Amino acid sequence: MNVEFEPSPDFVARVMTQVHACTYEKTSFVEWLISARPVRYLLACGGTAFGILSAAPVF
Amino acid sequence: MKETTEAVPLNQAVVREKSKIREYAESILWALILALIIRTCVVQAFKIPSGSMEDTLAIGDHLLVNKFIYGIKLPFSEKRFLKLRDPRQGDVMVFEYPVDRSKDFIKRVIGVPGDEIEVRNKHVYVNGVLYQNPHEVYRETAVFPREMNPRDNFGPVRVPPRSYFMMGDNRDNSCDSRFWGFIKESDIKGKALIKYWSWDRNAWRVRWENIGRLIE
Repeated sequence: MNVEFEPSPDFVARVMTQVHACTYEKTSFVEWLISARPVRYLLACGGTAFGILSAAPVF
Repeated sequence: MKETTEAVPLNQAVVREKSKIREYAESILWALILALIIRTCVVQAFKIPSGSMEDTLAIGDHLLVNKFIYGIKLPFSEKRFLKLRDPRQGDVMVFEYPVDRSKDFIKRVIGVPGDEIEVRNKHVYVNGVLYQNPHEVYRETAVFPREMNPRDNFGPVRVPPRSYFMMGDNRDNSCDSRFWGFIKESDIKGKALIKYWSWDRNAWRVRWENIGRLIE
């Protein structure tokens, strides 16, 4: 083991960029859609609006 | 050593999966709670399947009802809180049908507690004074005698405390207080507020002119 070895300052950043790129390539659109927070909030808001606007008959 | 390095990403994946399910469960729960609170305390949507309130409300109209103006009713209780005002003559109200509690009715307030109501030859008299609402319509010319039917000749009756006398705007085709009596204050669900959708199923078209119209 080379004890004098020092990684470059942006080593972690470069590795993580590659990791993110790799993960992004592997993630399917459906997976992304399910895990995306805005989509989840949008579904929740839509569900709330549907719950409020589901009309009961009044004679 | 090898086992440890392989186990860590597996656990992380399980945790991530769990949190995703949990996040969805929380979102659904919040949506349900929010919808329930808004429906109970703020506004509730209703649709019109009958013509008893024509021409104010046509079949296929969807409307929002203000649930807090007469006080927010606590579930499974007759108590109300945060009342803004009492129902007034001319208000269009949604209430539980006293004869069948599973149904909701929408009619106009004609008599408030203490009023004397009488119908003579289709004309409504409140405390002896002719009451004409600009929205009332008459579709039939025939006048039924009192003994035959209370539609055109009714009363006089006095509205009891904490009760209301209700009539449909389509006076000749409305099953209202003339037939089944007064409604109690505890049966009131709210005041009709605005039309948010209107579908004319006979013409198979949207009544765009009705959407957004306040109910008066």
